[in-house]
Amino acid sequence: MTPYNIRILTPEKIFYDGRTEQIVAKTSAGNVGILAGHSPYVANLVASPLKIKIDGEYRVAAISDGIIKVSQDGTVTVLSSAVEWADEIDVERAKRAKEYAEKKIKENASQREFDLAEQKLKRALNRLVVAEKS
Amino acid sequence: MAASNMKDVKRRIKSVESTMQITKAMQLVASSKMRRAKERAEAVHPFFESVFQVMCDISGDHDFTSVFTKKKFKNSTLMIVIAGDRGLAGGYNSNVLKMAAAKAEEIKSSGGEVEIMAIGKKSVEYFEKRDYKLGGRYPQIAEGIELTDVMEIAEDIIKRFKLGDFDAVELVYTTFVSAMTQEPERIRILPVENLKYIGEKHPSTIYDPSPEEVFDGMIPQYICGMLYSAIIDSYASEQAARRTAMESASDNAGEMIDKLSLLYNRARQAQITQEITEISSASINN
Repeated sequence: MTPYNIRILTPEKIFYDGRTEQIVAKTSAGNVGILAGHSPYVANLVASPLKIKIDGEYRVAAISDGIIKVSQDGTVTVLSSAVEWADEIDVERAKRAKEYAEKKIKENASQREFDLAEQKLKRALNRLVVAEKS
Repeated sequence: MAASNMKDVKRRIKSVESTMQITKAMQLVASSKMRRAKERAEAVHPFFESVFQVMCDISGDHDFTSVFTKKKFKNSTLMIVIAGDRGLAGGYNSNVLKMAAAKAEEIKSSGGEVEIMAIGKKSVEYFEKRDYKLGGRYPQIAEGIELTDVMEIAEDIIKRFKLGDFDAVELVYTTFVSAMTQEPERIRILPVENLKYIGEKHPSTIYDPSPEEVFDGMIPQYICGMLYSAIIDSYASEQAARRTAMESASDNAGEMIDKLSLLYNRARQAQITQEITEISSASINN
């Protein structure tokens, strides 16, 4: 497979800037796989595992909500507020976040707090799922 | 000068010296914190520029409507005011708070409503004491800030904006111009303005599922990036302001010590001279 350039950016740092052969990401409509030469494309990503094929092997990262963009020249940019490689996920922290969110949801707090807790739970679950896969 | 007076001067020198030690230490701490905050502030740029670029692209490629670009006329504003957690930073806190309060008064006097979201302990304290509606208190988050915290604030703002709790969101913070100058700044973050189209149009770009939905889906990233960089920018400014304030405090302390030492030495000399005069006059009289 032909490799192409990909950049994964977070507000904290440039998470990854290099070559890949294929990425598989989950948009709000479902999984999309992107190979070299894809036509220009922009979509929203949901909290999910992001698979990046480097030198024939998939690396998996946990990604929170974000955007994927394939530009005219074929480079791919992934923007997300939080991205972590599967082997770098702090499982204990994710578990704590999950428990905290579950507690909040059970407490029957206001709608506003409920929504925030739900988002938090989604993110924590995603990180746990990704961490287990690796 | 009498001996008791000399003792006083000596004690003052000692107390100024110990104050100077503290201000020196604070200066060093602030300057190292400033350096780190500046690095983090610069790291946000690539992310934020890409987000804004995509938003501009969408607005250029398609005619679209979004709740986030619509201007409504209810005239109620959410003002996010970012100040520090601690004092002793020169005019840093008071400058930004004064600017926010002046703007809030302006909106109020023109018949609008203002709600404040206070970030930083000083900001919370300031607006709690005054007659403002506080819609959020976030003290002590700037140091060691986590993106997930900012994400939660951003999601909260977006949810309430959609519900129509307010029709504009403004951000008042301090921007780091240089290590010597920091300026308070006010920007409007919602509704999204200034979407300028740069470069050529690409009508062939596929937006999945639709340009509107992609645009709305990007708003959390946009607000989150905006808030995160404003908080870090303010934090770097706070440290820079504190460093400058502590530097001049240390300088002043140094000057004071010099003056007091001069005073002390003069007094000591005068005393010795007097003693000699006393002794010699005593021997003459004998």
